[in-house]
Formats: sequence, C-alpha cells, structure tokens
Amino acid sequence: MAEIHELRNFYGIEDYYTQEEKMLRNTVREFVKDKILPYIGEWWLKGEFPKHLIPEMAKLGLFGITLPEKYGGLGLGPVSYGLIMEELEYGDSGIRSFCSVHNSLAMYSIYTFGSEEQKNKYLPEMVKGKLIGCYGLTEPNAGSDPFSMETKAIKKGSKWILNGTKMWITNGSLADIAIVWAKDEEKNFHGFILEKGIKGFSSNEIKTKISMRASDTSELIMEDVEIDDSYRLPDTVGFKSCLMPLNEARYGITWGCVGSAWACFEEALNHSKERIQFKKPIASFQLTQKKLVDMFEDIIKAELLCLHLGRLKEKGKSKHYHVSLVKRNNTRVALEIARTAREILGAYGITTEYQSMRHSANLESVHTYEGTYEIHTLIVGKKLTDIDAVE
Amino acid sequence: MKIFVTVKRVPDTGVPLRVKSDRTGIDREGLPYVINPYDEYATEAALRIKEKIGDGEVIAVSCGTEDSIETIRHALAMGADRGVLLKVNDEITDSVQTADILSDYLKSENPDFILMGKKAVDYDRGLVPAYLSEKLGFPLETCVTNMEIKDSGFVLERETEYGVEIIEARSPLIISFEKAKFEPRFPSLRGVMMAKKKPVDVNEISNLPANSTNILSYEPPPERKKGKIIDLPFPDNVKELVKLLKEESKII
Repeated sequence: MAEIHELRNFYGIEDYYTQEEKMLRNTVREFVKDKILPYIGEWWLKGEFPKHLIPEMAKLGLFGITLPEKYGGLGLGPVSYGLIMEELEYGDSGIRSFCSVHNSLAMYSIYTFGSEEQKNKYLPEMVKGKLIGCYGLTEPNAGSDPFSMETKAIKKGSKWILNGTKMWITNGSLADIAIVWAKDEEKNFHGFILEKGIKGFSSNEIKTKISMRASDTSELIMEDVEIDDSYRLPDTVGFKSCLMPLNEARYGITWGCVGSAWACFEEALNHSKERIQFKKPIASFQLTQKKLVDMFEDIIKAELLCLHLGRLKEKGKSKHYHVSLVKRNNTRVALEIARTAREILGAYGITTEYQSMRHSANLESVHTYEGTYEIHTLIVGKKLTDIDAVE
Repeated sequence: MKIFVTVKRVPDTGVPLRVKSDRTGIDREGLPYVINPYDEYATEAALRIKEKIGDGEVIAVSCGTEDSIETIRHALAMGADRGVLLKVNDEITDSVQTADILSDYLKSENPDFILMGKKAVDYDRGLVPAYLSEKLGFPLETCVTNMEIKDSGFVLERETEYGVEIIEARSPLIISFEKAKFEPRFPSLRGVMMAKKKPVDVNEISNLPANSTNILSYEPPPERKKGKIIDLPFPDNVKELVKLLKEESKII
C-alpha cells in the first residue's frame, strides 16, 4: 500500500525542489502541524483569527519572505514562497490569506512603490509582526472592475482628503496599516498608507461569513481622512500599479490551493480505507476509487503547474496570464477536491473534526477573491483571442 | 566552552517501515528522514547552555553517510554554530563502531560537554552514549529530562521509579536526553537560510574500526490478526465472548 509521502512524490517532483526549498517547506509544515491543525476547527467555528500566533509567525520568518534582507526580509525566491503558502493552506486558507496579504499585497506595495523613507519606516516593523498590513482596493460597487472605484483623494495643499469605502478587506480590522487606493480629481490612481487610528479612518469586521471564518475580513471606511502627501506611495504608475501586487498574491494562492487540496485528499483517502460499509472498506467501491483518482490527478497536475510557474517567475519570465491560468485551474480543482472529499467522508465530513468542509467553504472565497474565476478566464481569453471582453 | 551535540538522520517516525524482500534491511526508497527526536532535545539543551552563559560554541556532529549533512543542517538551522560530518560510505548499524568513530574525533577536540539523544529511534539500541563515555573516560548522565543552568554549574533532572533525581553536574560530561520537559525550538526560516552559510567539515572515515556485531537478517513484525465481531443479540453475545476468551484466547 502506498504511503502518503510516496503519493506526494508520484512523479518524483521532490527531486525538482532544492534541498533548501524542502527544508523551508518542512519547517513550515512542522509549525502548521503543531500550532494550527489541532486548533483550527475551533477557531474557525468561533470566527476568530489566531492573533496570538502573530509573534510566533514573525519569529518563524513568515513575514517578509521575498523581501530583500536590507529591510529585514529573507529574500527568498518564488518557489520557496510558494511552498510556504502551500503548507500554510494545508492548515487553513484563512491563515494563508493573512500571510499572503501581509507579504504580497501590503509589504510588496510599500517595497515596490514606496519612498526609501517609507520602506525604512514600515518594512522592518512589518517583518517583526509589530505592524500588520492590509490592502484596500475592492469597494462595495467595484469588485471585478476596480477601474470604476469611487474612493476619492482630493489634493489640498500638501495634504490629501480621502473619502470612500473599501470592502472584503482581509486583515482589515486587525491591521495597523492599510494600503488604500483612490482616484484624484483628474482620475489618476494613487496609493496611500493609512495608519490605524487616524481621524476619519475606521473598520468594521464582517461577522456573517460562512467562509474564511478563521480570517479577519472587514470593511474600511474613510470619512474626510486628512493625510500628508508623505503617506502617498510616490512610485506608482497609474491604474496598473494597483493590479501588480494582486499578481503576486495570486501566485501564492495557486500554491495555497495545492495545500488545501492535499489536506482534503489525504483525509478522504484515509477514511475510505477505514470506513467499512457492506462489509468492506468504501475504498473498494469503483465509485469511490474514481473519486480518489480524479482528485489525485488534479492535485498532481496543479502542483506541477505551480512548480513550472515558480521556475518561470524565478527567471523573470512569468506573465500575468500565466498566473491567471494557474489561479483559475487551481482554485477550481481545489474546490472540487474539497467537495468530493466531503462526499467520501459522508456525514462525518460536515463537522469541523474533519477538514474538508472547512476547506471547501474557505475555497469558495479563494475561487472568487484576487480575481474571480470568471475574470481569470477573460484574462486568458484575451491572450487567446486578442479581444478584451470587458472593454 | 565547546559543546558537542551528536545528531543522527533517522527515518521519519510517522512513516511505517517495510523490510526489503531479501530481508537485508529496510526499504529506503523515497523514505522521508528527520533528525532523531531525542537529538533535538540535546540540541535545544546545548543552545540553552550557550545562550545562558553568553559564550561558547555548539558543534553538531554526525557519523553517517553524506545525506546526514541534511540532519546537521537542521541542528544548524536551530542555532548550532557549525557542523562536522564523520562520513562513512555505508550506514553503520554497529554501536561500537559508531562510538569508536565519534571518540576518535572528539578526543582531540577537548569538549566540555557532549550532549546526545538517549537513543536513535531507528535501531533503538541506546548504546553509543555509554560506549563513548567509556572510550573518552568522561562521566555519563543518562535519560536526562531537564537541565537548569545555575551560577555554580548545571543541575540535571532524571526521572526514576522513585522520583526525580536532581544532580549537580560539571564538565567534562556526557549527557544523554530522554524526552525532556522543555520543547526543542522550531528552526526559523531565517535559521534555515543561515544554516546554508555555516561551515560543515566533512571528515572522510577511510579506515572503519572493527565491528562487534553483524545483523544477519530482518524480520518484519507479524501482521496483526483480524478482530472478530460477535454478531449475536444480547445476552448471547456476552456468553459467546466469555466462551471465546476462555477457550480460544485463553485469557480468562
């Protein structure tokens, strides 16, 4: 009988990771096994993000993974980053999202568009977990179409006055700083760093979620927020700049999906071998075997796609449509795998004693956020046809 | 202060092992490996000594094949300063041989402390600390569960049938660790990155010392017998159970 470690290495993929990449992955795997998996069901039910783990996550090195060492980061490559995201989402998509947003949206934006002064002020503290970041692009009326955003930034001398609402913001309430995008009077896009507690800036946590319950998702409200121009990210180049960080976060999501998919597959496989019905393990039924093989095939393909995309990214050759194709594929298969795993688990599968339904509920968000499934379809569609469907 | 920690690469304890069909050993194809869990306690203890006294060097030593560098790197990622691989071409299964190789190396290194796991979880013999103590002429404290650093020296705890033994310790000394009261630290991602830059000396062991034992063959443990379900209504099922316990398994 094949063991899980043999199944995970079905095509000898382990040989294609470096020793260092594997050590980094295993380090995070141990952390998730010890600090996340025993408690995640409870946190999820209570609708709590485990804030108490932030110092431990910082100590482990989960903040500033790809950030250069100059700012306190680890300067790791995309495959290491991806493997870390995979392990975190093996635990829970919400935990992975917390790290994705902090690293790839908040820190990445400051690193890419910030002044040297801003980088020195925020990044080392963000690495230490003393400051947590979030990213405000989406609005109640601007989701897939961020260009239509309504948040306004009006210049008044050396200050800006911000008004508007951002919606579905991961880490929104627990974050100490928010990267917020707004349009000026000439309809130019600007990114700002808003610190928690400044006048007119507030957040509301969305408590009615039945997905990503171990993650903070909030609304950010700006009512005549007055800030100095020194809080504006100076190196942005218009609308494109607010999408660039998304591409980084999407890349991490593609790996994360592989993690949640493995978690669901493993528990479904184990259960199917132990659960006896009609005097034999349900794994002996052709219906179950087909489900298991379909799941397995999809995970193996998803991981191979991620690895290839990661190596392309290392060489600076990955394009946004490469990321879209994998984000589209991997969120779809991970969601299907989680649902199928729940089917194999039967009634047991609907509880948080098992993981599959929690993952399945989470993956509904993953399927939609950071570019919906449909939007990624249109990005790849445009590449194929040269026709932009949303213009 | 020079603190040596011995570390061994062992198959992941979470994975069931299979004996090769020719019975000459374990099927190692694709097997995941970890640092011997007891050695992790020893490494943690060594790092705590260094941190407490604010000085000294922690050196992770492994006697094994080239792959053992991975295990040394784990100790380096936890915080050890450098590593030494006493490299052999094939895995050693003889404790005397391992102890000879370790003592040949360690006797010229003037260690203050040598911290070890009480045993490696692969062959489960637990002989190397005792042999090494004999060969180096160092005292040995076995199965230590806790260690405190006081101004005057070290206080060790051992759990015995009669209660906890509290021992004052001074160097030079070999300490072997049981599952301890303290938790080994997680190596951080930064630790993993730093480990890559720390030096690991590779000493080729060209002349293997004589072995004292030879493993003739490996037998897989017998497969567990299938359970029996007594599919009868109460109280017949109880009667049947009692009968089986008396006549078949003969335990009552």
